[in-house]
Amino acid sequence: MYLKFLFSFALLSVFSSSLMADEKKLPTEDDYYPLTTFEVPENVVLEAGAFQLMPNGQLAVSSRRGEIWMIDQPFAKEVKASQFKRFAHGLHEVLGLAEKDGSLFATQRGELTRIQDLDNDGRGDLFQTINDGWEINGDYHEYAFGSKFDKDGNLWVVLCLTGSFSSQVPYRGWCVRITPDGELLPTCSGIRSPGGIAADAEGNMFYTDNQGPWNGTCSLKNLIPGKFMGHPGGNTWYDITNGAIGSKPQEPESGSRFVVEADKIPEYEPPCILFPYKKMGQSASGITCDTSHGKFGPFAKQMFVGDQTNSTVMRCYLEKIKGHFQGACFPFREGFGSGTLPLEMTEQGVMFVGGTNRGWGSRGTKPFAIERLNWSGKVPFEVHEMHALPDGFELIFTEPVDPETAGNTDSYSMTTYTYIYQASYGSPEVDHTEPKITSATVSQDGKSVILKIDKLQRGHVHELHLDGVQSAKKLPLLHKEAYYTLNYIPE
Amino acid sequence: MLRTVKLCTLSLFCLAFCHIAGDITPAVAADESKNSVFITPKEAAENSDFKIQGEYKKEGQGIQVVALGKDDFQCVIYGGGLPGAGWDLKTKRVIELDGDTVLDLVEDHEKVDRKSPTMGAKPPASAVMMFDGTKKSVEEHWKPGARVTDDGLLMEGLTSIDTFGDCSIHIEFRLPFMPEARGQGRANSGIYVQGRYECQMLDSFGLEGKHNECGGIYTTKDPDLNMCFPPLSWQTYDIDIRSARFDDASQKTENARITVRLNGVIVQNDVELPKPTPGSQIKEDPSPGPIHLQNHGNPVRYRNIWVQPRDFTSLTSRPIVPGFERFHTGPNADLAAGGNLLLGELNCTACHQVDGQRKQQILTKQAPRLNDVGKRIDANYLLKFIADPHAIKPGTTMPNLFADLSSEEQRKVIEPITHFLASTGNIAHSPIDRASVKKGMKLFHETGCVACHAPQDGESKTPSGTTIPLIHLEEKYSISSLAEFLRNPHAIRPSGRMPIFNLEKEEPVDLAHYLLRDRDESLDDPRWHYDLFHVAIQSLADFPKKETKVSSGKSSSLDVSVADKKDQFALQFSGFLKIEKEGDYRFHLGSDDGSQLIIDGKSIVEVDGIHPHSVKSESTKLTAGMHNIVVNYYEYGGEESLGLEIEGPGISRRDITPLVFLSENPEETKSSEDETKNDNRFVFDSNQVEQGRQLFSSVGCAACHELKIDNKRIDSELKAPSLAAMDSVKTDAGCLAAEPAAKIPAYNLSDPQKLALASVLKTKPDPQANEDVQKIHQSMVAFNCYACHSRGGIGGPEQSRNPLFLTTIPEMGDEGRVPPPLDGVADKLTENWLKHVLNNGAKDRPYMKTRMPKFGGEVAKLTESFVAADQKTEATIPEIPEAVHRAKATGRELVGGKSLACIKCHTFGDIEATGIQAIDLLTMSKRLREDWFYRYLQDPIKYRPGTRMPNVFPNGVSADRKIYEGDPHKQISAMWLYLADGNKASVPYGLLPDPIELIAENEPIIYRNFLEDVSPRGIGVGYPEKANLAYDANHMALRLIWHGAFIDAGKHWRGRGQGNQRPLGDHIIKLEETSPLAVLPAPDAPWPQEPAKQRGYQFLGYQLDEYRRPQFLYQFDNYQVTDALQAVANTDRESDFRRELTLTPNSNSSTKNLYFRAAVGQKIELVRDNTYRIWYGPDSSYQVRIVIDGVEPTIRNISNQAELLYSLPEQSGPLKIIQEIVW
Repeated sequence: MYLKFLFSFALLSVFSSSLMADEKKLPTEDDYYPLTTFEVPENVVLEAGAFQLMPNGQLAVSSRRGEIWMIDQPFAKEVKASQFKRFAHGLHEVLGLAEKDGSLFATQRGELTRIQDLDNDGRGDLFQTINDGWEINGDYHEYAFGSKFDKDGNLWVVLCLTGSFSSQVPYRGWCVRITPDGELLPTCSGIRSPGGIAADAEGNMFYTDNQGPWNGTCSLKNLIPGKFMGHPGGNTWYDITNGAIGSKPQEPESGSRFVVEADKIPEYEPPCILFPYKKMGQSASGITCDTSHGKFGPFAKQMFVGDQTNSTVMRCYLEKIKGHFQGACFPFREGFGSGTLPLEMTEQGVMFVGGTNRGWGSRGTKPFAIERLNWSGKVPFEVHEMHALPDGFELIFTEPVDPETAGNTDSYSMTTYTYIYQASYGSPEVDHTEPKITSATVSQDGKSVILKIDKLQRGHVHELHLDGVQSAKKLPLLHKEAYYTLNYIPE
Repeated sequence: MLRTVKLCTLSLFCLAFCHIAGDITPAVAADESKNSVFITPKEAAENSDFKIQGEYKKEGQGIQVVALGKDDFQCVIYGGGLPGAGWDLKTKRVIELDGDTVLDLVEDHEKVDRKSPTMGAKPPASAVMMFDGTKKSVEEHWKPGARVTDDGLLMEGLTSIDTFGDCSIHIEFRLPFMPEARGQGRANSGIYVQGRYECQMLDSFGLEGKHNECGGIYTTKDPDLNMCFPPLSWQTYDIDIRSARFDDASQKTENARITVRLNGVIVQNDVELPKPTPGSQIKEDPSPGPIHLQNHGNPVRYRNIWVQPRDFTSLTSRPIVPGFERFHTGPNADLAAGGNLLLGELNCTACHQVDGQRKQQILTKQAPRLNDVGKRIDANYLLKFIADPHAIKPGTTMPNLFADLSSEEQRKVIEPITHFLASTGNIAHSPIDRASVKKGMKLFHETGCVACHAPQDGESKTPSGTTIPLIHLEEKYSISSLAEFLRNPHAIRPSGRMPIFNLEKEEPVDLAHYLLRDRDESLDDPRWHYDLFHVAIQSLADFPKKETKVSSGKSSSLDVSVADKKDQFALQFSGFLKIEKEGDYRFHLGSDDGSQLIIDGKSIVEVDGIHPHSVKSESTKLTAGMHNIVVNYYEYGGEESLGLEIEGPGISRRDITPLVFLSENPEETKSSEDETKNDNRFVFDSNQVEQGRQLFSSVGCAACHELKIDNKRIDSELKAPSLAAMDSVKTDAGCLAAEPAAKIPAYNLSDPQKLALASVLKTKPDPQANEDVQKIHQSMVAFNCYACHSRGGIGGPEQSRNPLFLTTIPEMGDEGRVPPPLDGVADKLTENWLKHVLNNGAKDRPYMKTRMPKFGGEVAKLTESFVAADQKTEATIPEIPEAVHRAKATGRELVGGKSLACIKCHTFGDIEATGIQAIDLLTMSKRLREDWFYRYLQDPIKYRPGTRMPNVFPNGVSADRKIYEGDPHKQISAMWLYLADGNKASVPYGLLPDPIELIAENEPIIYRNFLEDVSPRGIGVGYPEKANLAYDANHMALRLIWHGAFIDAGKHWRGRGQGNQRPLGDHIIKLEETSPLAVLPAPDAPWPQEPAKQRGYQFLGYQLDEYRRPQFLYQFDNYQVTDALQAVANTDRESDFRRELTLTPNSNSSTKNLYFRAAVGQKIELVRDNTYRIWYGPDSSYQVRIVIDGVEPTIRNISNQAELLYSLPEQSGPLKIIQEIVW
């Protein structure tokens, strides 16, 4: 095995050095993060909704059709239909799985359920309602996405509004936490249509929300208990929280901008990362954080976010400025078989990706897919981190850069824009500027570059293209663009 | 074939001969043709071919049998009925047969002898009687050579002495029977109107209908329809000719136009005549011409000829009331009823008082409300229109109040009135959007506008008399004001002749763009200079300097769309504000985003920042005279808007633009170009407003038009003679005088209109008019319902309009296209639904492009009359031989694909039918009366002649004899019961092409999703024993049970999955609405209704037993409950359910007053020990057996229902309840 690995690595090296000579054959995403597609049993429609790796090494997959399947040896080179076994059925669109003490916790539309296999026959027998304190009204929008357990043993659930605009029954448009005792804690209002929820390496909770009313484009948002996430449709339920998270915030003004309202409304937490519409995707979905300590490559502790429409996984770098998370998103991997929905990174440094395109079309043409992303061991040349500075940005690269191209301002171009914060559906890009990149200074070790920008625009996405930048090995970047959401400018 | 060709050549020769030598003699023609000729019916009576030929009809079909001589016939078979009497204008077959075969063919047909509705029409007073059978009339009106038969009929070949210009001609003619003759040799003559234009007479009965056949205009145009009757029938021509128009130099400026009715049907509709037809005797010039009846060698006879000279210019601008023109202008029309209609449509009673009885019978059409008219209608149009309504809008019912005044006198009255009207606001024109025009054109021609208005596709023509004119709308409205009107016409025209079409979203705007597409945008009256800046600013402080502008221009309002940019721009509007009176003025400035008002360099109002439209108001003192006014505006992102209003001494709050001018001296600085273009453009003058207001009241405007100032309607000071005392009413004076006198409103009434009004005023109110049938007819005439619907053989789309009704499914024929006849409509529809349709309009026929609009008001009130006139209760509704839940399953089977297959043609909710997409089955029980449904299904043709709906019960036996022995009554009963579930009815078999059926094979299958009749927390369980249930986790209740198939998950597992899933199987029974266990405060306390979850019951989930059957778990009060359900298979019937409820107290202190409610129904009977029959309907029941150790139930009646109630003992250990359900 070891020998074989070395051999193939050597082959790859030869391969890639020949690539450098011939620019037409540049390395691709596949060279760094190859994709494995699982064979799903015949006649099974496995529209994946959530993943959970079980203590016995099986991977649990829930589906929009209310089933849970167990996959034996999910890390095997090939995964065949025979490795699948149905654990449960008859659940209501499970979009969250978590595990505690060998029990599986499933977030259904209407409740959080603990499922136990009492007789150890590989099938769940006891379906216990842990909490059903939020309501459903019979509308198809009423999705519920569940997180993993946080450090206090709580499970977070983000609840889609009744439609795009309103909340007909309690806690639609909210994030709630379910405590180990099965108690419901109202946590955040302002949610519109989530696509996924997960914590970062330090346990900060994030969710994705989708373009629509009060959401000019899709975004990654930070869930902080008591904060308002931007869509006032569900705010009526502050009335039943008994002040648990304070009083109802002031209504945002339609037609305004995210940071303008954030300065005005203390409870409002603006989106950490805006995913520019069409450019990065159209429906942000599952989230996962690389907690594999390098087993998945150079992006330890970074977040990954799916996009259902584009069938992609994006990469997010977050930093805290003036007490708020913000940062950049980068393209990471495309070409998934169906519309990317759940993402699950395991300690082994493997990312499971589930897909479905039912009801919402996707670039990936299959109706559903279960796939796995492994790291090939090769480091792609990428912008690793993007830090905001008072007058520009610092870029950290995964590989040393070529000082000549990276130090030339002509290798870069930047535009900025934002979106209208408004009650009507979505928003065009507005308030464009074209700031000047006045200097590009390469660090001594060649791993970072400081760009001076005249001038930064607060509240704008800063779209950076690094078309001319090459690595010291004369390779272009694998992905040449970055989008930094500059809600706050550091001082 | 050969023969025909030869004859054609002959006829051409014949024609050429005519040109040279004039008319040929009958002898020559007879000699040439050698054909037998029968001149009178008497002569032909014994001819066997003559006896057979003629017209035949039966339901849905008409046949014209044409005699070709020697026992040869041509039969023309028409689908729908005879031409002009039901023919669908498409289906037509021609076959040649001998006499016997013809008789076979027409055996089940009725021979008909149609008569023209204008036969025997009497001449109006102003007409010239050209021939009435008397010798005198021949001598006085016809040139020498005119011949008369012994029995007093005029013979072919004569010319009138009288000459005519514009006129209407009535003539009756009879064509000889010449069976062997062909083509132009077959009973040929013709009438030359003005001696110039020939309308052909020819025996073209059953032929194609060409320009050289009867009804055709020779060499110019084919008739729209061949309306020729069989030979030797008397036929009528009614012809309107509008002469060609010439200028002073005798140069033709307009072609002549002709409208021809053949046997009462318009076959030439306002057709342009470019030149005289061949054979004319007179060239085209301004002189009038005679009537010439052609001698073509065939013995044609004429009678009752009269000519009414008319002034078509005046006539075409008469008030157009379609119902009057269509139903009250014919020779046998009910004049008094027509007059009564006009009393309402012309709003006569606004000025003339009428007595109570008559008042009740008049359906008044109120004039448009003029509140805020300035905001809707361009003042320039108002000015022109008031001055000469009939010239500006021919056909208007608005009278000319100033016809007798000189133009100078007119100006003095009309101008102040217009200034007064304009003081209510002004309109802002916006550019025409071509994409909208395109969409509007489609809407206009498809949704139903053309049922009353003229199509504007350049091809179709509709009769002017029944077409409400739409003239110069582009001068009248702005896009937004017309769109607003179209959205709700009743706000302006409350009497509802123009109905509300329930236009959606952008539809009114698209229509407005279309209707105003010809607007001359250069005529807009500029009021403001503007400078445009391309900047992204968020504050007035950053407002750009003038030098940085990117363009400038002039605008007729504070229109931010001049920027042609959505975001990031600024505009500076400037001009001169004319202030008449010194005083305090208040300004209301509103914008999205920022704006600022500056007067004489001083900032008055500021609306700064980025925000949605918001308004700020400030006051300032202004002197009389011109003031510099500047409005700054900037837009950063999102929506954009700007508005400025003024209020002050003598000016109520309104738009400021009318008071703003481009220069300080508006009169002097007009450029010569502006001068010519805007010569007559209206310039608002506030000095004239008060005078205008007084005139509005004094001259009579206020009598008809509501105009409220400060919420108070302006009264009319005009009084007209009362019409109450009939003896004193003069019918040849006032409005009805030939030339209305001074101060009398000139309505430009036509002669028939005057006659009708005179007639009604001389007639006592019709005592029958209040009867339902009369009332319905009267309303259908007034509201022009007949334009779309027929009823009682009257109305329905006119011939020329019929093709304008469109469908999305052509295979459905007329049924899919033409709005349904209203015969028996209230027998068919439930009263509520009929009222709903009349009140709100309908869109139940998705295949029909024409929409049923919303009428409301008087029309909706007709519901009661419809019910009284139509409703019958005469169906046999039988006893159903099984319980309702079983009968519904039978009904479902009958509707489905393997039985009567209703689903082949009818949609089922949002599921398409497999064939055509006829009306939704799920709406049947909501729309239709049960009694009618029974009768209709057994004889559809009787109730809807021409329907494609087949009779599935021919000869009283069903096509499916397996069900109820084919008994139609029982089968219909079952279908009705099934459909009565409306949108909760289960999908019929054979409809879902690809269901995702969940089948419990060896183990139960669970389906948690949104289920019909269950709260959103439903849990469906299907058992291998083919019994199924839905458990409700919000109520802790066994909600539904059913037999057979479990669930089709397709609704939720396809697409986004909206909606509730219905059970797939049958015998659905609704059981508990809420938990069967509760603590009652007292034994007679009502059972709690709120969801159990809200009452503190907590659902705990379920555990699967060894057979993987779920046992539901919950807790309440002091108890843990296990609700274990299992299906029990039987050999002799479907499975039953067995339920075991176990209550375990949490502690030793058990709760008192704990009850188990085992069943609820209309009636509960003890069948045998522990077994009860639960009646949930008069004929429907199921059984339960209950076992609880040592407990006896009570049956209590509470809130109109029976409950089977068990008081449970207090105990410390578990308590078991066994319940068995058989259904």
